[in-house]
Amino acid sequence: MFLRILSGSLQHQRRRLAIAALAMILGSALVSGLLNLSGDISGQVGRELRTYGANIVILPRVSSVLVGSGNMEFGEVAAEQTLPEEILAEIREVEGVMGLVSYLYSVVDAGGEAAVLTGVDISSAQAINKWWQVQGKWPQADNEILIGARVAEVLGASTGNSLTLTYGKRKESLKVSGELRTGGAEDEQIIASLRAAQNLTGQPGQISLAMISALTSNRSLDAIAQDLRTRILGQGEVRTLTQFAQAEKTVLNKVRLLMGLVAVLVLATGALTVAGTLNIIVVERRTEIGLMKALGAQNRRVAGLFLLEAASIGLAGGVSGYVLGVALAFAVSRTVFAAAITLAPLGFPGTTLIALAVALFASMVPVRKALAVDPVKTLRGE
Amino acid sequence: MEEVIVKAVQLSRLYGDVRALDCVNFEVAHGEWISVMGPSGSGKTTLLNILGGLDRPTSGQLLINGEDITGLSPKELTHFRRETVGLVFQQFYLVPYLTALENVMLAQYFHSMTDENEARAALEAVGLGERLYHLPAQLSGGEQQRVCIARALINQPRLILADEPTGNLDGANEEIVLNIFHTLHAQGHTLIVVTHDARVARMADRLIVLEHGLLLRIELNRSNQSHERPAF
Repeated sequence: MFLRILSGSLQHQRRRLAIAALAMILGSALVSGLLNLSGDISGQVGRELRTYGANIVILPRVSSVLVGSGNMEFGEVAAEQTLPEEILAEIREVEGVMGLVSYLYSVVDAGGEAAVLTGVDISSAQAINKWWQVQGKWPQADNEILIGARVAEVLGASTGNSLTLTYGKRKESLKVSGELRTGGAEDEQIIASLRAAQNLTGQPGQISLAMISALTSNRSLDAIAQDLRTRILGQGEVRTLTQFAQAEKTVLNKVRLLMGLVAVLVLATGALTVAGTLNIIVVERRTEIGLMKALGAQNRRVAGLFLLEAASIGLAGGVSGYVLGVALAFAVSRTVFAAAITLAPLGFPGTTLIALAVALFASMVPVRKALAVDPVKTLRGE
Repeated sequence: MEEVIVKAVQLSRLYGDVRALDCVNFEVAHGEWISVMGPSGSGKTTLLNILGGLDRPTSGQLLINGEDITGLSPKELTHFRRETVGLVFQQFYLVPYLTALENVMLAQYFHSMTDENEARAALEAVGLGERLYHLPAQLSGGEQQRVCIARALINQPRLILADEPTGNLDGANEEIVLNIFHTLHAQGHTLIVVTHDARVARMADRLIVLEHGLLLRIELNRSNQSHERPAF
C-alpha cells in the first residue's frame, strides 16, 4: 500500500517533482563529471605540467681521484663520469615514469670557439620540452644540429649552415637545421642527436645524465625516486627536483579545491530547489496530510512518505545525472586535454549517494512542516 | 443497563477568549444514534473534533469506553483515532490519486494491514461494488461520500463520527447515505452526526442542541416524539 501511495503521489505531482529532479540531475551531472574527471584530472593536469620539464634527474656517481706526484698529494679531483645507456630500459619500467631524456654533455671546439655539445634523443627532447622555440626545423638525422641563440650569435652561424665540431682528434661537419631559443642554458649549447655526440666524443653507449618526467598523481615523487634507486642499483645518483614537484602539487590541489567548491555550490542550488519544491508540495497536500493524520497515520509514516519522495528525486537525479556527467567528463577531457578519461570506479555509487543524501537533507524542513500539520485546522480549510 | 460509550463531563474548549464549548455534559450509550444540531459557531464541529481525538478540551473530562482521553499524549491520541473512531466528513476528503478501493485500504494501512477483500466488501455494502477502481474525480458526490463511509467503517470502530455527512449531497444521494446510516444504526453501531438538516436530526435516537458553546438541551426522538430530558 505504501508503494501505491508513493507511486500515486509521485505521478500526481510529476510536473513539480520533475523540476526538482532536473535540478538534481544538473547537480549530479556536475558531481559525476567532476568525480570522473578528478580521478583522471590529476593525471591529465600532471601530464600537461610534465611537458614543462623533468622532475627527477639521474647523474653519474661522482668519484674522486687522488692526484699527486711522487710523495706529494695534490688532493682529490672529480673524475669525468658517465652512465651506461642500458639503465634507461630499467628506468622506463618504473611506475610513474612518463618519459625520459638522456643527455651527453661534452665541450667541443666549434669554429675556434669552445662550446657545449649536448647529445640528446631528439624526439624525446622535443616531447618533453614543448616550450623550446626552434626557428627552422628540429634535426631529422644524425648529421643535423640545433644551435643555441647565443652560440649562433657568437659563431655567426645560422640555419642551413654547416658547422665543424672538433673533439680531440675527431672532427665532424654537421648541418644547422634550426636555431634554439629557451631563455636557459640551452641557448649557449649545440644540440645534436645522442648518437652523433657519442660518436664525435668517442663515448658510444654512454650518457651524462637522464632527465625523467614522472607523473605524481598516483605515486609520490619520493616513492618513484626510491624505486629508481633500487632499479639502477648504485650505477647513478637519483635526485628529485622538489621545487617543481611542490609547484605541481600546489596546482593540483588548487584545481581539486576549485572543482570541489563548484560541486558544493551546484549541489547546494539543487538542494534548495528540492527543498522549495517539497515545501510547495507539502503546502498543496496539507489536506491530504491532515486526512492521513485524522485516520490515525503515525508521524513516521507521514515522514516516510515525504522522505521516500525526496529519495526518489535524489535517485532519479543521481542516476540520470551520472550518465550526463560521464558524457560531460568525456567532452571536457577531449576538449581540454585532448585525451580520453578512465571512469572512476566510485563514480556511480558516489554520485548516486551524494544526490540521495542531498535530496534527503533538503527534505528535512518540508518533512518537519508536514509533521506539524494540524488535522483540525487543515480539514476545516484553514 | 446500557453500556456508556461516551461520557463528557464539564467539557470546555476555549479559543483565546471565545468559549467554543462551555461546560458540556452528556452521555452516549453503545448503539445510540446521536445528532448534534445548532447554529453556525455553536460548537458542533469543535465537539466532534474533541470526540474524535483531533482536538483537546481546555478543561473537563471525556471518557470513551471508560478511558479519559483528555490526558493522552499526541501519539496515544493518534492510536485512539486509529482504533476507536471512524470519521465521515462533509467534504469527503478522499486522496485524489487513489482509487475508491485504495482510499478504503488507506484506513486499513494506517490501522494495521490492508485486506483488499474486506475493503471490497465494505464498498459493496455501500453500493459501490461497480466503482471500486474509479478515482474520486470519476465519482459523484454521493458516491464519494459512500467511499468515505466505507473508509470510516473498515476498521470496525466503536464510534462513528460524521460532520454534516449530507451537507454537500443532492436529495437522491442524501437518501442513499441516510439509508446507510440507518442500516449501521440497526446493526448496532454508535453514531454521532453533526447536522443542520432537521430530517437527518429526526432519524437519531437523541438530539443534542448546542448554542454559543452551551448544551441547550437533549431531545429524545424515539417514535417521532420529542422529550426533553436533563443533559446529565
